[in-house]
Amino acid sequence: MPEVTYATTMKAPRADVWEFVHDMNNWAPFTRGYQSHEVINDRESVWTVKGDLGPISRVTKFHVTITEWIEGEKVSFTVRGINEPINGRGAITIADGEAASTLIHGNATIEMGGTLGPVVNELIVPFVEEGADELVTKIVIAVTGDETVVVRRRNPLILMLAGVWRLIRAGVKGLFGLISRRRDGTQP
Amino acid sequence: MDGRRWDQEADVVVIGSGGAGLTAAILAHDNGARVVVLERSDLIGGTTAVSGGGAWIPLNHKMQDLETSDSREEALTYCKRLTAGRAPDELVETFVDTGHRMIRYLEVNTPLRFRASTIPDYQSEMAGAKPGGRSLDPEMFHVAELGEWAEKLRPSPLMFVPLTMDEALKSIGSPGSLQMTEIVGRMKAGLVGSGRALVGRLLKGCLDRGISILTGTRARQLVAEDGRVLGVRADREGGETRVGARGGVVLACGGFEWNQALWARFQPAAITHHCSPPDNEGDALIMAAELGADLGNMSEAWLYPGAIVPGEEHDGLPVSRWVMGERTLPHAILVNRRGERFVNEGSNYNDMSRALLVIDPNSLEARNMPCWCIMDNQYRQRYPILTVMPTDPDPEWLVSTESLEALAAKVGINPSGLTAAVSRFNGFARQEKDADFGRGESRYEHWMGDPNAPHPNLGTLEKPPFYALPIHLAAAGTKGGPRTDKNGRVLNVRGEVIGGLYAAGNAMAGVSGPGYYGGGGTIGLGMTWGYICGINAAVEAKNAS
Repeated sequence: MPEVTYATTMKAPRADVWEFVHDMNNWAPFTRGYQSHEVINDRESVWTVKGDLGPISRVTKFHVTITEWIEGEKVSFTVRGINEPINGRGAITIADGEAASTLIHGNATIEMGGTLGPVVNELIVPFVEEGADELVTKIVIAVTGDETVVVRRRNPLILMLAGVWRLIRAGVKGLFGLISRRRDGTQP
Repeated sequence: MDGRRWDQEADVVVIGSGGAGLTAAILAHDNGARVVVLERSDLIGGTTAVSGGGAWIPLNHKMQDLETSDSREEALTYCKRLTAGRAPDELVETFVDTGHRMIRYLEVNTPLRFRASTIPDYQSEMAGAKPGGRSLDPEMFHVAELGEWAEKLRPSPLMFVPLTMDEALKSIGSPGSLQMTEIVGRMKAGLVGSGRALVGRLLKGCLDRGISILTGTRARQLVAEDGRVLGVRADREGGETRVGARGGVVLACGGFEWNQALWARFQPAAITHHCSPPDNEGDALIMAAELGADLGNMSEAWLYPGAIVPGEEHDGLPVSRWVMGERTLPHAILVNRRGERFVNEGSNYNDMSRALLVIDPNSLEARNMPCWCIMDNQYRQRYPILTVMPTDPDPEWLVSTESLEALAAKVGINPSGLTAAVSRFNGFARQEKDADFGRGESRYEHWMGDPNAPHPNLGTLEKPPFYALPIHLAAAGTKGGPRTDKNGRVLNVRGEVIGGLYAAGNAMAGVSGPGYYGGGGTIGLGMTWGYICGINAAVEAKNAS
């Protein structure tokens, strides 16, 4: 099952990031193979995308439903194919980063069902992964104005290792802080 | 022009990198020639790479695996019947006598490996036909064996899942026969099947020999002196390059189906779709004609009935899918705008398509075009419709209604004609005897049918909803080009050999006339003539030096 996970930092205030991403009209055209989308209501929309299936491209329509909306913080959604047995889900979370930056974490899975599902899922991996790189990169450029940015997806193992590294770094920093305060004669 | 100033020189120059061209290159090399292959596109494989990859070769040594016997007499009887006098007997005999030697040679001397297919010959009830074994199915190939050339192996818009030709064809009537886990495993392992496997193995054979292959190099003009071809002028990297050929030039760069002007001049009906690479614009034909080559079999093409999944594209062009099960399986028929059945839907795609060429003598319009495949819910529940599997939801592009009358009205068929045709066909289906067109009576049709149905090819259309799929006439390539002798040498309009010029595959005047011998009928002929041309051009190079 094709799955993509992202964790990146944008050099922009969280409010600016949310202002951009909360309205899908801002970033929908950044989707690889985007043809059109129709907003049905504040929770539902229908998308038409031309996707790559191995060497051929095919137009697919799917219904996107927002299942969770935490203002300024998180959006979760589901995807259901209208003319093909496609199902998927995903979420985007944003949080304050250091020095007026914003941390973005995103993940999405998409799965083709039916008899040919296992084969199609293998074929669409490049489209999903490269499409995700392209989408996130374009969003970051649109928000920050930095056209040199190139975002690459992260696999869950790297994310876990990055988390462990951050914990170690925080622990070391804390330890050094403790030592320096003791050298100053201050109490912990 | 001073034809003796060359950017590079070889003994044999092969133009084109499909099955015919790569075979010619290998044989020329193995017979002592220094070979250069010029390929117009950036990709290797030509029409062969996008095909099922089968090679139809009578008397081949793999037939013994199926415990099937063959004889020269049977093969000639069958082939000559299908060529209908439109190909010289001498060339048909050369094909029958050489094809099996070519296969054995390549299996011994290159990575090429085949398995005998069980698919019967396409006119399986004709004298000399065989119930299986003459079609050879290439074994899967690890594309990584090509190293950096792997990226140059032409992708196929139709056969991009690693299946053998047999697997792909058998899955039409038995979708459940596909082992998805096995196929995904092949994909992850980097295996390719069908035409890509065939080209991959031949390309590996060329690379192992150090044969020079120039991609992105379009041969434009043959350089000749005193009626003898000495080399080629080609477009390359925005400029011109000249390649000398001491022994000869082998034209193996496909047919002319993508050249609209040539198609309109020589072919009997307009065609909007092809499944071959769009580079097949008749380069070989034009270059040979410039030197006075005689032409033959120009009105023939490898035809098939096609259909489109709207929105599906390859390289910016609609993908013309082969309509196979939608006409050979039970619960489906073909009708014209009057609602009439007009052909044995289950006959092989090339011969069935001839019915789409018929011109009404009164209106002078195509009698059976436009054409639709009509199916009912029994079909829908059991078999694929193009890319739509039985368990998939109905796509928007698939027209369906609750009655035949409504279906006819919706797509533009005469409603009473359609209901009458379906009623008559249902009677035949119940009796398991098609009194109008004899559908479902041949071994070939049974092989292409549903082995688990009461009759593999016949079933009523009576359960709504009913479905209509528009069909178009399409071609996998043309069969006409410069005439050759039995040594592959191109002949001029006076029947004399044009020195140093050879032709093979779809670039030559085809050796099957209007017929289609069996699965791999195109590639079997192409590779055989590549083999012949390669050997003879190498010998000519030796003699020249």
